[in-house]
Amino acid sequence: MKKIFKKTSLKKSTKNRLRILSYVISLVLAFLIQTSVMPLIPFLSASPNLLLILTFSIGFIHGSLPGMIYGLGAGLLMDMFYSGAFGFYSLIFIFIGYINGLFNNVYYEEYITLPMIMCVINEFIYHAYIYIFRFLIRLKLDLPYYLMHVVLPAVVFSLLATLILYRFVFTATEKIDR
Amino acid sequence: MENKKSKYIFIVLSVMCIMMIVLSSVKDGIMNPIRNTIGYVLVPFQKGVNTLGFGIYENLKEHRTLEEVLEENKKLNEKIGILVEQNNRLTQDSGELQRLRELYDLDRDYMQYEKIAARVIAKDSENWFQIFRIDKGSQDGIRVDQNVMANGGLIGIVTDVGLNYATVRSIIDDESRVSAMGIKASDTCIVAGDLTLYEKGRLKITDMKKDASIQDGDRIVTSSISAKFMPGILIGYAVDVKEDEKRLMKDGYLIPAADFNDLSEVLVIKEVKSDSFLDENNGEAALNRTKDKTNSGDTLPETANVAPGANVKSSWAGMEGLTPLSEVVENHSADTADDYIITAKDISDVPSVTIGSAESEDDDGEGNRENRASRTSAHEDDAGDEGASQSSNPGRQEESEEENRETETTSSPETDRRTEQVSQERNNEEETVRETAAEEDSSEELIEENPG
Repeated sequence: MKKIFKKTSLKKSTKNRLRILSYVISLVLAFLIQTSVMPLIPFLSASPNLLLILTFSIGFIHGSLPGMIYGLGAGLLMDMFYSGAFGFYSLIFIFIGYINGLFNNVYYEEYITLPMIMCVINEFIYHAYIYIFRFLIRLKLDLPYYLMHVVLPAVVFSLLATLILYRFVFTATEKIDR
Repeated sequence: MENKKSKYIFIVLSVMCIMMIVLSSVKDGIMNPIRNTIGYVLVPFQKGVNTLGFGIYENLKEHRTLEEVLEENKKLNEKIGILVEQNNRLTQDSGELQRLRELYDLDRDYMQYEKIAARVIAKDSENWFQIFRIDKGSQDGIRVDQNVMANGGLIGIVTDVGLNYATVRSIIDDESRVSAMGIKASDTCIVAGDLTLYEKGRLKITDMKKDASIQDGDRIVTSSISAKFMPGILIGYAVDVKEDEKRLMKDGYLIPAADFNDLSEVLVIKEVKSDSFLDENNGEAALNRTKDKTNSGDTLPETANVAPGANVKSSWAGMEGLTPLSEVVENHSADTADDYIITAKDISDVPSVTIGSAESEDDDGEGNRENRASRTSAHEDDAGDEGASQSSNPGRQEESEEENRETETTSSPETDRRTEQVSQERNNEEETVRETAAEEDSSEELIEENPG
């Protein structure tokens, strides 16, 4: 994986290493915060999916391949956390990393509206995926309720988190590049 | 070029993921080594972050203003007055409670389970699933399917175990289904988690029989027929029990006994339900169990000694009704049809029955013998050879002869009494069966002897 990463990137190897390191750390940190800290906060009815935000941000800023690899890492962490079929989350995270990478060519620096819209779309794709494969197949058809009580809070909180996290990925990229 | 390459990689990775999904759903636990390794590295961090977060949260709580604390102090002082009064009343009640609790065996029953305390270190951040992770794993004796409790109520079940962590699925998860029963009448039902009811703090009770007597406010506990949950653990209280739209079953809601919003420490029950299944499949263990249950002093070898004719074989306990056909045919004269559907549980009851039947041959069995005698009387009359039978079996035959005459000549009140006796004994199935078996045996002898 690292090899591919190095090949695609045209920067110097030290910068690459720094970048990979910072992304690995951000990945683990986001996972820990998402699973161990967020649920402790009592007034939060839903918590933002930090891993999802990071995945699509990186896909959007750096392209399909880094997005996919980051998605794979995030998905594996999620799969490890859940006890269901292994690979369920990897698949959707890889998909999101890849799809957002396709929009890499419309990426403009400092332009925040597009990431916000993409955040909403990604959240909907992600939740639709979970709903279809974990709930619809058990004939749980109460879609309006799920939309109101699960998807909507998650989207709202994710939007707020995107404002911060996207900025973070953006500035981190700039600093490393410089 | 770049796009094409990442497209291929995307396809490869996706196929890989799908293969992993299929593989891990077909073969359970195949990914455990990977999960274990990642878990081994990450769980200490999770623990650390968790305690850090908890510490910060607690710290924030501590740093409140003096005014707030003073006001709270005032309130608390008022509360103390109320509580003292309440306490006095409660201590009076507690004596009564103690007595009632002694009557109420079930409470003690589930206190018996050995438990391991564990700390919740991670939770699912989304609202789709209600699962969490605890900081004890296989090295602490946690196994899959162990039940998890907190605040005296059932919380969930361990679904996945790593070396130093375990994943628990709450009973409020949408996929959770717990076989349960009412504590009063032990009508079984299913307690199912439902995402749409989660915010109301309720679970759904389904599959309750229409004539079940579960009412609002009844305690619902895990059922003894559940495959994964230990029996008698309190789940919660039933509310809104009513017939469903089709009027075939009843359903209702359940308010859980445990508080799911504030989970930080849980208790894991060490025993797993499937352990007891293993015991039961093992014949000896089952035998010991039944022996303990009935508290009968007789051990199995003694059984065989006391009643060799009963053909009780120790292997039956393990075979549970799978007596070879040849054996059944061979021993048919001694064994009645009832004998080979005997179960392991019945075996411990056998000695008392056989002893009883052996003794009853002299006194209680009279009615039966009379019955037998009247049955055989036709043969005897035809043969007309009373002397021969008398000589071969003088005492008993005489008796039966007397009885014969009685039945032939008069329908005296005595015979009425005896037929009553017969019907009474018919009620006690096992004994009757055994006795008739013995009779048939002896009657056959009789018939054989008669012509000679």
